[in-house]
Amino acid sequence: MNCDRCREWLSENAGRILPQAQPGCDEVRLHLFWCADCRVEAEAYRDLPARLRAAAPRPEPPADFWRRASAAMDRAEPRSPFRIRTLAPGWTAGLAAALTVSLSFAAYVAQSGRAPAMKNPVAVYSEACDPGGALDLPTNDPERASRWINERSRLTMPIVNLKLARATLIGAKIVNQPEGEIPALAFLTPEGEAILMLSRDSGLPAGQWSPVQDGRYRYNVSHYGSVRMSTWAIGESRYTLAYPGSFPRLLELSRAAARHCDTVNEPFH
Amino acid sequence: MTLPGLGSKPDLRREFEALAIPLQRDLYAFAFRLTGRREEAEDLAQEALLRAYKSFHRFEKGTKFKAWLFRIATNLYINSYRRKKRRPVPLAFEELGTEDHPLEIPDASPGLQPEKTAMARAAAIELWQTVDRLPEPYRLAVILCDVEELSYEEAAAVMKTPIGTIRSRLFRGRRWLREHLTAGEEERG
Repeated sequence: MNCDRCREWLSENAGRILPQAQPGCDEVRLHLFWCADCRVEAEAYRDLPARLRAAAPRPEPPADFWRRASAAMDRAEPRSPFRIRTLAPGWTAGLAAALTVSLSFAAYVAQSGRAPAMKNPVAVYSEACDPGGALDLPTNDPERASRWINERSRLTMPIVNLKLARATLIGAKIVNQPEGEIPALAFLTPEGEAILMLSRDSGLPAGQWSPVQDGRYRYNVSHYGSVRMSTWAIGESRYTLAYPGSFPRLLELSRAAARHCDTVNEPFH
Repeated sequence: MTLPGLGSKPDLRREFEALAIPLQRDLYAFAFRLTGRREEAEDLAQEALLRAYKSFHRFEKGTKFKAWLFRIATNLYINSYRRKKRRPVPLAFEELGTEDHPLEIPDASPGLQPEKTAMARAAAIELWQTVDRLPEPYRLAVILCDVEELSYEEAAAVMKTPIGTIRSRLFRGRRWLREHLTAGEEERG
């Protein structure tokens, strides 16, 4: 072990240097025995977390801190965390593409009755849904939007001839998750019912695939206040469909939507 | 009607308060370390508490509430930071203790002479100002792991990054701190 490697190890294991048994610890000990410079470095790293904790400011909260928090809680209901926000016009086509991919997938699941085996990410659109990200669609024209999305998102299969299902976009919601705000779309079906489609890449359990065996995944749906949600994962991203009704009805709608979509990439085989 | 998996509102409130009240000081101090300003810290901590309460029915019992609460605060902070497109304001001396809000920096060496205590406090303030100058991702990793003593796994969950990324940020952050602290000490002779 040389000095560079030793110092790298010391930094990675700050505060946990001798005598704890960490991988590589013996080599480091041996090096420290011979190297005075690294011993100085080791002392510095060992002390660093403790020094930081000692130096960290610990201001007291104001006297009325909890009273104010409590008053805010009095006004709030622990609830299904949706609130309406008007959709920026440019979002429409891009997020519609996401919905299309989602509905196709839901239809596939409904038909096959099982979760697909996980493969490499087929469609990762969370980036396109990121309000702080690159979503700035230049057009609402589906073809141009498709092209734009294909150029910018990490789709391994292109969206072709993007068309949305019969559902009509009625607005967008920002879903307040503990991890932050997540954009969602609200669609109105011909039956007069609303569908929410949201993207998420969090690990919170609102329902998700869980591995069973042989690369197969079980699909779990969980309740979310009065809204029933379904979440699935593609690669590292999770996608959620929320529908204020029964899950079978959601699948029925998804199937219907898929029949009206030309954007069927059949990503899962 | 109580939905499956949900308790009644008073039950939830009691349960939430039992977990949150003991952490209010930690949360406020954490928010202060992130933002560097009392007003912003209070806003952040209040908002984190409110969001946590609203989402409390989704909190997984048996997991660490503090990590969950800090995760909410961190994400609020990150979102706010992104929106404002600016670095957090480094801690100012005037923020570090006023007559109304005396700041308690723990005395690492009780029993020292008053002037030595003052020097220790000044050194602590300087150290923390060095932390504040850390590039943001490293700063967050250092605060979460070294100051708040979250495990790598917990910090990775808070920052929504792989554990390897946390380790790497910590490595770089600690090295950056070491270099800058050493440089400062050498300048002072």
